[in-house]
Amino acid sequence: MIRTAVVTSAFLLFLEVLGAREHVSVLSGTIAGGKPALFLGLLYALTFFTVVLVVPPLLLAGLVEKLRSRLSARAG
Amino acid sequence: MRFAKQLLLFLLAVAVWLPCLHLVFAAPDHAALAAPLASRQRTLALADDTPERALLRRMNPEWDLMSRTFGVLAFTNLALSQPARRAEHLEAADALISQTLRDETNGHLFFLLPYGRRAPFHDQAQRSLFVDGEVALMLAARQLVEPRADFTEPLRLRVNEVTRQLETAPLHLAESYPDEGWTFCNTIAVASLRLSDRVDGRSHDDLIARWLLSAKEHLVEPKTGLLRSSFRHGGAPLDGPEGSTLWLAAHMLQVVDAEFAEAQYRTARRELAHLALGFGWAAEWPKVLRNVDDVDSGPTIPLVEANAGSSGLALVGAAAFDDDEFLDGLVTSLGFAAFPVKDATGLRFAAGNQLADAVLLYSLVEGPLWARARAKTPARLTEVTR
Repeated sequence: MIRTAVVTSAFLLFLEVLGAREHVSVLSGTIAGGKPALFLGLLYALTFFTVVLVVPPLLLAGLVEKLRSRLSARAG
Repeated sequence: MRFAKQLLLFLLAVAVWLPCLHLVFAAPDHAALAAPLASRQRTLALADDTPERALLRRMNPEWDLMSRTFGVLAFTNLALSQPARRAEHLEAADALISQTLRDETNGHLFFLLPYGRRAPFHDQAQRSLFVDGEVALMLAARQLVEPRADFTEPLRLRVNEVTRQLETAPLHLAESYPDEGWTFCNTIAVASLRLSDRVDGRSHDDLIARWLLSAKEHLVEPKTGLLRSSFRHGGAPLDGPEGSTLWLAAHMLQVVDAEFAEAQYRTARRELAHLALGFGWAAEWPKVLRNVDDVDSGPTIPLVEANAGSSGLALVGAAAFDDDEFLDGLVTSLGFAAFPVKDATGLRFAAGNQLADAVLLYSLVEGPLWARARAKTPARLTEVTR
């Protein structure tokens, strides 16, 4: 779960560096730059919402799982 | 077994995270948002021809005029609330007005979508209430703050034009496009009459009263009690109630019939507003009346019914009707879903455009201008007797 969270966040960072954030204006129907911009804008928005909504729970659940397995390994 | 455990852990984490999410995006200090937004809007206003304006015009020329109107309304409010910076704010408002008066000489079609050319207006002078109403409102707002001699005549002429269109239109409901009238524009037009009366001491009370009677009789959709958004020349219904019209129409009505305005806002709030987990958003259409997307409404996110146009203008309604819970929810949603971008010029929201930023700025600073418009004594006399 932690790996998935890190990979998704890294992909958002990659899109950020590409300048994809500029193209999220597609969400309001304002499209500057044709189909590539439309695609980048939607991809950025989708990735951003995934990172904001899913990554923190993934990290939290991943950490709890790691902690639990460490504790059971120590107990075993 | 391991997967099931992981899934359960993940779902528990989601249940913990979602109620906390709004805390990441909440912006309770609205003034802290308004200042950098105003800074950027001011830069754009003074620059005149900008890529941002070119993009707006390419998408929809109406958005260009509307962004100027909301810009002027925002800067005139700021001029009243920040007297020490009045000259600076009026400079931005004046720049927008001057550019608009210049561009208006190209004809009303300059600010209309291409379908405005398809047929002649029923209006004999071939004028659009959308253009005349918004220009009149800009001028009246500016003059209400501090009269400027060279704007006196342009305001008088626009108000006369708005008056003529409302007087001659069947049912006093005038056209924005050929054979197409919009409640949005009609409410702006009557508000401009009220503001202008406060400036020059004339009275359009009789026309405003007749317009209100007609609107209540012919524009109110019976299932919801909300104003329809558009109608044919002659008053036949076109589109039903829409959030992107209602929030602003209710705000405009505040200066002509506060009780009716309040009732429209409260009904729209019940029918269109959503609040969940600290976030706020608005639907475009009431549940009982579905419609189709159009260019003014913008896209709607299915399932949650969040509509960009309606949610943007809901900010104006929530601010104008002191609905702090809804306003806070809407501003929190902006932080989450509108992608704020800060740079050297100030603040903007990447998910929107220059018009959306102007609407947001206006919603954060509105109040003083409408308070002055609702005062019993004309502003001109207040200035003289001060």
